[in-house]
Amino acid sequence: MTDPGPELGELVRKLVSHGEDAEELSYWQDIFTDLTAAEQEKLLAGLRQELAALERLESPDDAQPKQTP
Amino acid sequence: MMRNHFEQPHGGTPSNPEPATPEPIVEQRAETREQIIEHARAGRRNLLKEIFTSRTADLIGNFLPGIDVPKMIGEALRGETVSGEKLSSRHRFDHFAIAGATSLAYALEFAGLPAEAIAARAAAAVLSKVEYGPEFLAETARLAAERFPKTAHLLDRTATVAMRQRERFAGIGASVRAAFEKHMPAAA
Repeated sequence: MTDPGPELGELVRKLVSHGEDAEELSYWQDIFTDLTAAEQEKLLAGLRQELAALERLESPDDAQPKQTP
Repeated sequence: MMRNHFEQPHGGTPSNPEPATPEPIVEQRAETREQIIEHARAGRRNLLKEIFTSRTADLIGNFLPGIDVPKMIGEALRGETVSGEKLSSRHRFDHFAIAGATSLAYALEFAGLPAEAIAARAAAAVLSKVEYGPEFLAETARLAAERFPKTAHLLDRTATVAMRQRERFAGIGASVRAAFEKHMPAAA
């Protein structure tokens, strides 16, 4: 088991600012240390992926595929 | 006939025929913020299901071998109440949490009983004596804290979710118990 460290808190804070459910994410923060390492990584990966998708949506110019000559 | 809301029409229509030269495929950006969030929530519900299934299977497998726990949990977490109430995305999460925790609490009940007691009373009979409600989760967590500290903490935290959804708990608890009783050895 690993401590969530600052990353989980930061992910949750940003996701809530994008409209995610604060209560649900708070629950995940509460139980994080009860999860196995694999479960923790799965949760973090999903949160990272969601945040990246939401940030891309708000900055569509940055997400355009680059044209190659 | 059921219709998939995410189904996209393929091909052209008489008034809008497909272009002779297919347009280059660019990265799809059809997802809205709501779709991204819902997709992520579905992933977390699946993770929650895996977590409660594995914890329950670990406990029940030790005390009542031969029960198909994933199948049993799958039935308990179908995402609907016994009254067939359709749940919103937010309430589906609470339902998964409460149903998973209730399953886990039932498993802990068995873990707290001597093997002879389970054999003598039959599993379904044990279940029928359990009073379920948010307090059941919290009390089971308290009793299990010494032997199963991490499982107990998970249960205790979920009891807090259950407290907020007290009015829904009875339907969810009954649904879980029905799924458990169906798979448990019946009383002789």
